[in-house]
Amino acid sequence: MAAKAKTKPMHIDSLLLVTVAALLSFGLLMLYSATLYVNVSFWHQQLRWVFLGLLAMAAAAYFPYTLLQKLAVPIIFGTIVLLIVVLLFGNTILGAQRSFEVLGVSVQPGVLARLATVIYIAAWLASKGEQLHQVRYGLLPFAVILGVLCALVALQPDLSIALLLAATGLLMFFFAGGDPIQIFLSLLIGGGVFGMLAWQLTHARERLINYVAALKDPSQLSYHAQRSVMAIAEGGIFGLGIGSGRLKTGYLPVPHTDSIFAVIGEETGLIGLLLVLGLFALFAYRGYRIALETSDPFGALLAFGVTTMIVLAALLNILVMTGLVPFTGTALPFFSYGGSEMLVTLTGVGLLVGVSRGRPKGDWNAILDRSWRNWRARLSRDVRRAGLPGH
Amino acid sequence: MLRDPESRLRLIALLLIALLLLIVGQLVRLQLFEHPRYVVEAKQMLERQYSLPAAPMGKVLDRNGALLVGNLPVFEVDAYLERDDETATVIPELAVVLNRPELELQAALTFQESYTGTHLWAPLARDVTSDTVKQVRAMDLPWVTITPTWKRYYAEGALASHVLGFVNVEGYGYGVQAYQWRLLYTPPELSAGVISGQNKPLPEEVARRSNTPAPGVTLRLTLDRTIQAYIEGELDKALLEYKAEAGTIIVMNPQTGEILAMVSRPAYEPTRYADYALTNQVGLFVDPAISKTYEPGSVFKLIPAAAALDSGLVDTNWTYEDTGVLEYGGVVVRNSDRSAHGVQNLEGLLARSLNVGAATLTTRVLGAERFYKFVTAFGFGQLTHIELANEAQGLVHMPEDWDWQDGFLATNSFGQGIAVTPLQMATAVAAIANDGVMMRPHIVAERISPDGNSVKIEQTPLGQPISAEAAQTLTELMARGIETRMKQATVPGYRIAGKSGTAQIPVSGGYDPNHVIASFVGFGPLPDPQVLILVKLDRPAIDPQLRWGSQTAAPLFQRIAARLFVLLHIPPAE
Repeated sequence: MAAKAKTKPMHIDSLLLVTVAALLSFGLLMLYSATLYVNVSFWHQQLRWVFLGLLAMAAAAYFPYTLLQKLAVPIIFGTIVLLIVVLLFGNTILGAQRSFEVLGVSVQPGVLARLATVIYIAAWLASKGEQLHQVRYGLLPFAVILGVLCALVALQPDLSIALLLAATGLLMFFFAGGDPIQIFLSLLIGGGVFGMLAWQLTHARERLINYVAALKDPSQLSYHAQRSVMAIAEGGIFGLGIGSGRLKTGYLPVPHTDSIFAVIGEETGLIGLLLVLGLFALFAYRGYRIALETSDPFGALLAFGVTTMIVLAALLNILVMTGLVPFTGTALPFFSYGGSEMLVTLTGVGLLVGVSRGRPKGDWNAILDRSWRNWRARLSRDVRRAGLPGH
Repeated sequence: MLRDPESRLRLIALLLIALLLLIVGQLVRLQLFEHPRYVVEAKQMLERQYSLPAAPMGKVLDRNGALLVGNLPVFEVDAYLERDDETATVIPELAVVLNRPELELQAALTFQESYTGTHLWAPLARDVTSDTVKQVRAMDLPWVTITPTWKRYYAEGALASHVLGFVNVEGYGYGVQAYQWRLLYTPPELSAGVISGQNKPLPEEVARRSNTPAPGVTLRLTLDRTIQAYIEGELDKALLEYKAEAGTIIVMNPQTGEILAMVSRPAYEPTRYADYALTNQVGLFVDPAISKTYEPGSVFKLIPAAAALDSGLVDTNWTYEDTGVLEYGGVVVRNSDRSAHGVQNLEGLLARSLNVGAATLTTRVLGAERFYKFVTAFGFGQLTHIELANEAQGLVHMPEDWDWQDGFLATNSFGQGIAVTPLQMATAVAAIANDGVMMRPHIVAERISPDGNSVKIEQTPLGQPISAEAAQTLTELMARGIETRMKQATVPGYRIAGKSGTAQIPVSGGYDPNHVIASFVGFGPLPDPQVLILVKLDRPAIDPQLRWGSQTAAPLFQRIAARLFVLLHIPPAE
């Protein structure tokens, strides 16, 4: 393990970085076009978010990721608090409480929760090892952790992100060595619960009903799905030309966030969409290679989790936009306008880069352990000085 | 077999690749095979007819280029609502800004239950000023559309309202604007092209269309703003002085047919035409000068006199025996003073305005056929084709008509039983002033197209009803007539020819016993008359002994003539 890390010292995955740079550049180009009729100031804000995201990415890349294994519990605890805060005090946007404002910036804990969950699950799974195969130590506590997080996100209500969380979590469980039969069974149960939950939420139910109807008759697709399918189909092979899209002028809802894939389809055609798919495929390939090439189980799980999180979000958005999955509002990573999304995605990429660089040279665990001990020691001294009985 | 992470990842990759293939398949289906169908569908959805911004309407100027009718930039504020647009919270503010009752606005912005469409269009306000639009824009409501357009602006208020008229949204109206509306107004060009979801043509779509709608043609009228304002004031004063209900003054150049001023009372404010329509006062829009007929009375005696002179049947030496009574075709004609005047020549006939004499001319001298040939030649019973909407043609009974009565020949001679418009009367007398050549009365002097090209309107003769000699003889008789018996119509330093009239007003079953129409037509200065003035006062409600045309209309004529000679820079004779 240590030998393997030594053979690839300080290697930064340049193919991954090139892929990400390509995704970001193409994303910004298309976002500018998509915001033309909405409000170009979104694009200016997005530039700022990309800049901040790149800073976060660099920070994450040089942050000793092994530390995250230790910090996973406080991170997930903070996330849960944030989720509860947003449930209680959040702004209602489009009928859902998904954000609250801090210093004038709208924060979406649901989006942050995805990365936090990936880190936590990676840490948890890495600590279990062979125990995973036992339902008592593996699936059961895992289902409880994932269930609570998903439920909190779903209550906002943001079913699509809950669904992404669950899927990412289960795939990580599987990758970590979980029993496929257990996973299959839990999928059945989870799917049932999710279905029931979706049925309770009016907007989700309507979408499901729309979808079932649309399977029989494409003209029954929901308004949004109809428009995005129309935009993609209108693009043809070569598209109308970047900037010349027509449905973004008020027919395609939210062209700058959820529907940006349809805008790309209309303006750059099949060629452009295949480029997008290819870039995501390349990203997935690099991400999973990093996961495989990392000997450290936490690093591997983290890389796998981050890659899966981003790839699944992209897939869900694209499946929705192409009318293959009932309509739900999710962002396309690297492309859609959105600060939280961009920060989380690029931080995730940073972690990925960090993992690809291999285990940090310095014995960070030792440092952490030492400070942990010191703190405990200090505490003990204080306690002692307080003259508690029994000592 | 799934022990090591690599094989597990392979399985996951397979799953992702399956999804990727599904997506690629769907993309190929949509973008390759169904592409043509969706292109048609998108075209249907996106491309619609829309109207380009309205072009300004043509201006109306007076003869010296002073603005009479222009355009104000205003805005139309409409709502184009989607079902889930939020309106309730902004209605109170919007109601204040647009000055509309809140409830009304609420109703306009509510989807009716029976309405199933996805969008609702509702007009919110018209003729909105830019200040109000600024306030509306500040509210930043995505569903409010603001369309710039133009509103007619009347620079001189109610001045010359009947002549200028107005045109309503349906394109109907009055006055020169209605007559020339197709020149003044270019309808907004309808164009088919890509419309944004906010129901506006895309900027590039508009930019592609270089031919912005052409502004309307500007009309320069023959009206003189100063003379118009002056005679309007004179008419208003006269209506008060003689307690008359209504009145008309026409000032024209007999040599060209140009109308220098034309006014009738009661009038209206063209800007507020909609208010008049709402209060059932549309009658005010009708221009009495061209659209309402009256029986001209004694002024009409000029026509048989002109006819007899032109035919060579009478000359200045011709006389007749006035017995005070003439019976013809079942009617008894008497002079207005109910007395006999003995032997009279043509000058005495006109100066004393003898009905018996006029009837003698038509019944004994001219005969029906010849008399009505001249009546027609002078333009009675026909349109003058002045550039004003809704001109009336009047009514002349002809011997071949089914309702002809022989007595008409006698009564028509002094202007009874014949309906003419003031403009027809003025035009006919102008022929006498202009050596027998009758010019078409016209009010548009020049058409100026937006690119600066202009067309002057030709002065065209309508015909020559009488010879120059006959016209000059008659003019001389008219001048001597007022010089001997109607000093109140003369202007020192200028020779004037004129004829007064006091006409009875036909009502059902006869004539109104209480009211008359007093009028005077005159022109001057002789021998080169440059201005003809027709004055008509309806129902002066003063002492019946003092309301004759010679006592009311003639002095008014005199005042106006004296002033106009100054205004037109016509020097007095030595």
